[in-house]
Amino acid sequence: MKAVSILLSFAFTVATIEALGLLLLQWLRPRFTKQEQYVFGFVSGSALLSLVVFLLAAVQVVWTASFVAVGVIAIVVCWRKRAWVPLKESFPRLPVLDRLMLTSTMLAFGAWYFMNALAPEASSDGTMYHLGLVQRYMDQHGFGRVTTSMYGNMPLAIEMLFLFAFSLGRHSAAALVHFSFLIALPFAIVVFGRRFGHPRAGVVAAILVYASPIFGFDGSSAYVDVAAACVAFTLFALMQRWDETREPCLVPLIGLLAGYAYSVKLTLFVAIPYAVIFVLWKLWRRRAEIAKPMMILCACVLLMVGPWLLKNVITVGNPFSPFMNRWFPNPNIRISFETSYREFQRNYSGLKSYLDIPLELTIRGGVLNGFLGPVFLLAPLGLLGLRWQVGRQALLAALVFALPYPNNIGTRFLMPATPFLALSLALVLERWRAMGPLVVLFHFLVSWPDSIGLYADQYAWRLEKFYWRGALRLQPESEYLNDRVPEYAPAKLIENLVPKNGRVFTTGGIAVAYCRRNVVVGYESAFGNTLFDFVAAATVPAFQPTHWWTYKFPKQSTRRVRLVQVQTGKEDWSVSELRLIGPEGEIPRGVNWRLRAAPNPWDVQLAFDNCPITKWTAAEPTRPGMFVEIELDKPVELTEVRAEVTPSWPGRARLEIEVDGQWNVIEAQPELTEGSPLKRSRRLAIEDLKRNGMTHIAVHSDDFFVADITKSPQLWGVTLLGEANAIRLYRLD
Amino acid sequence: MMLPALCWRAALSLFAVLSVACVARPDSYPVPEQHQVFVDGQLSDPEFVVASAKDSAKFFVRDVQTHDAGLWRWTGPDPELQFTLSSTSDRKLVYEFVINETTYKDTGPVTIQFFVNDHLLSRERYDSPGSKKFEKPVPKEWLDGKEKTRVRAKIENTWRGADGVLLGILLKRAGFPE
Repeated sequence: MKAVSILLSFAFTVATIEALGLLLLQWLRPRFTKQEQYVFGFVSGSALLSLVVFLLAAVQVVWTASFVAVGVIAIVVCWRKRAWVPLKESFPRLPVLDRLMLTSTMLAFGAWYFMNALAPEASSDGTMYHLGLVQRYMDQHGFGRVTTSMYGNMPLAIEMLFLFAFSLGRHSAAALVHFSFLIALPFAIVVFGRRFGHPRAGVVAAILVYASPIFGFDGSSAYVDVAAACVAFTLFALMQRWDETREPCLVPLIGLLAGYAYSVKLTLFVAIPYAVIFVLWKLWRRRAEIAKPMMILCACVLLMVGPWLLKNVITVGNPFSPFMNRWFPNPNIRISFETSYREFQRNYSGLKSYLDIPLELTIRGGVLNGFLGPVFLLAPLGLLGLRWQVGRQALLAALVFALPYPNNIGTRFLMPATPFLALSLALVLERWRAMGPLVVLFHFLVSWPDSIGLYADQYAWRLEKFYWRGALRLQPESEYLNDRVPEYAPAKLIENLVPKNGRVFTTGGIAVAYCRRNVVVGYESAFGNTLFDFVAAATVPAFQPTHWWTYKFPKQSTRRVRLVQVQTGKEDWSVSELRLIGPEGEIPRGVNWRLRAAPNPWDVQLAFDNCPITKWTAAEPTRPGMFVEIELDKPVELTEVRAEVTPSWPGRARLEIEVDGQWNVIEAQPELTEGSPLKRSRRLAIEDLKRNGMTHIAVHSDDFFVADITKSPQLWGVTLLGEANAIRLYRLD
Repeated sequence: MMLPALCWRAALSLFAVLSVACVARPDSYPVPEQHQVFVDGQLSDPEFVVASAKDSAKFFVRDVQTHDAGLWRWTGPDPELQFTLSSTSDRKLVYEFVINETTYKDTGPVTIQFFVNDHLLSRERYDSPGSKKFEKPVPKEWLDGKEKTRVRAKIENTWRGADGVLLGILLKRAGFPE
């Protein structure tokens, strides 16, 4: 029964998507064949539905009823306007061999993909954030103001479709929506091949993509990469079609999909300059009118991109969050985190040399998380496709969509370029009559899930089993997930033991898609980073302010003091406490004092709260000119200023005191003393977590403090509530 | 034509919003609520002494020079310290000190016996001058029932100055961290 409800939800979502797309095509009236009508209708309809769901989430009306209303209206209007009626024009039938290859591959692999998509969602990213965010938006009936998840700041166009399906059929319905792109993509490639006189190449390329292990794995989970590849290819196909026919009605579609591509996956931002320059160049070469088509194109791009940028501006103060924080400084993502995150994405641990990438991408897949299939070792042959116009365009598109790849060398990030590589290769293979089918047969055999274990890395992402019992819910969902997702049991533990208004801090390891509680993950935001620093300071001496730099000078009367950094370094500069000391001892901090810091002014109070656990951090690597400043309400006499800092502090900061409106530099070198080790540091950390709204902490077995908190929970001031797999859940007392 | 006009308006509006997209930075912040972490900073911690601290003398029972106020303090051959511990379980003694290069040239490797409440905790030999750190857990029963916990560091080979004064090591920090 559950499986039926999931399938109905999925069918309703796809029907809504198709209805919207067909209505759009009916309005624009491009000269398509009926095959193109349904493929382009699906992709453009998905863009429209995504936009509609975005608007509903923005105005906080995410309810199942809202989505049902949208779907019913779209389907009824489509029906009444007869937009669903197939267009008259059709491509000639494919040759028998091509039909046989395509149908057998689609059905054989499709059964695997479908069953895996229908089974309870068990993918890593799907359960950890794609559907985690969807669950959260569903629970809070809209976007709300989520500033604690960098993933929530990324454009989430496909997640909007997931949200629609999820509201009706939960996790598996969402995964099936992604599966629908896996079906649409090969058809888009086939249609393109038929349109441009290369039907065999289209079929071969479609099969190469469709049977590729990484496409099968990704497309049957709640990821977004197959959808990204599908949108990229559809955009390309529309651009080529427009170049051929110059139908003005294709321009808005191109703009829509170019903007949509960015909204599906950030790395597809290249689609926008690609489409804009392509159209501009073609118009200019033909001396055609430029202004109007370009305006329409850009407006449609903005229609899809603008909402996501605006959402980020309003929510986190950076339209391009979680990136470009140096350009748009904000309190939500640290620049130093962004830098290390980008570095992390560029370097996969286990990859010994960049020369290993081709084999990793095609055969092994253990390090780069999945592989395309051995047949893609032939991809360089595709360069021979430069002989033909279509081949040149396909290779250009491959280049464009591969441009962001060095920023993340995981196999998934090459998926948007893969259909173009497959097409250019297939165009070359098409020249030899039997070669295409032979390559397809080889690809079929080596990509078949049972064959993969013979050659690929044991850890390569791939479909492993035909989970029909799980898919049909003959095996209980919880049992299925407990067997396959180690993060599932902790998620349920939290859901069962944490009250609805509770907030859980963790360093990771919880499948938030299955946990209807507010979980703050340490690395996902500046807020999370700050909480992590508290916990680190509880036990790690390097995070504790045991070094005191004291600036001593002859008695001075002043109202303003500042500590200015003069060094450059890789570490973030930080100050735990800055104290002013006069002849009678420390000057008590006054309510009328004003505090400033640059950069990261938002955290300056943490250096003046009399707590050794908290600290102001520059949130970016040390550079000259950073400062922390105190302005007093009236002049006081000072003899010392003391900076209490962590041992890694570069001791070259300069103390400046304002006298008669002029900043005077204190020339004397500061004196370093070591304070005693922090007392009750664990308890202080917990108090600070509570002060920041946390009620629980979920500790992972890999966490650096797990042994300490396990041994001495009373020192921390926490109570163990339960444990599941690698997670121990504590209540903050 | 309606569409281009709308396009321009939409584009200009979006541009205007993005151009002011930076988060507003307040000019300054007030002093936050003060956490009551320790009375008088960390100096009054009765379980740990920092030799340079102004109130460190109250930890010294004997054989630690109190008249110089540098970062480190010279000890004699048998310095003794005292601490007030709030708990006796899972405690360890930490003793940080420096072996002076000049004295080391004459004394050679320095051997030190560490006592806690007259129980020999360890006998350590140091084969080079410079900063040293001794750290070892202390049995609970040695600490139980004592109002003051006394720590002795008996230096076996001391250095005799021209004035006849015996010098041991330079004390930096010592005590029972949490």
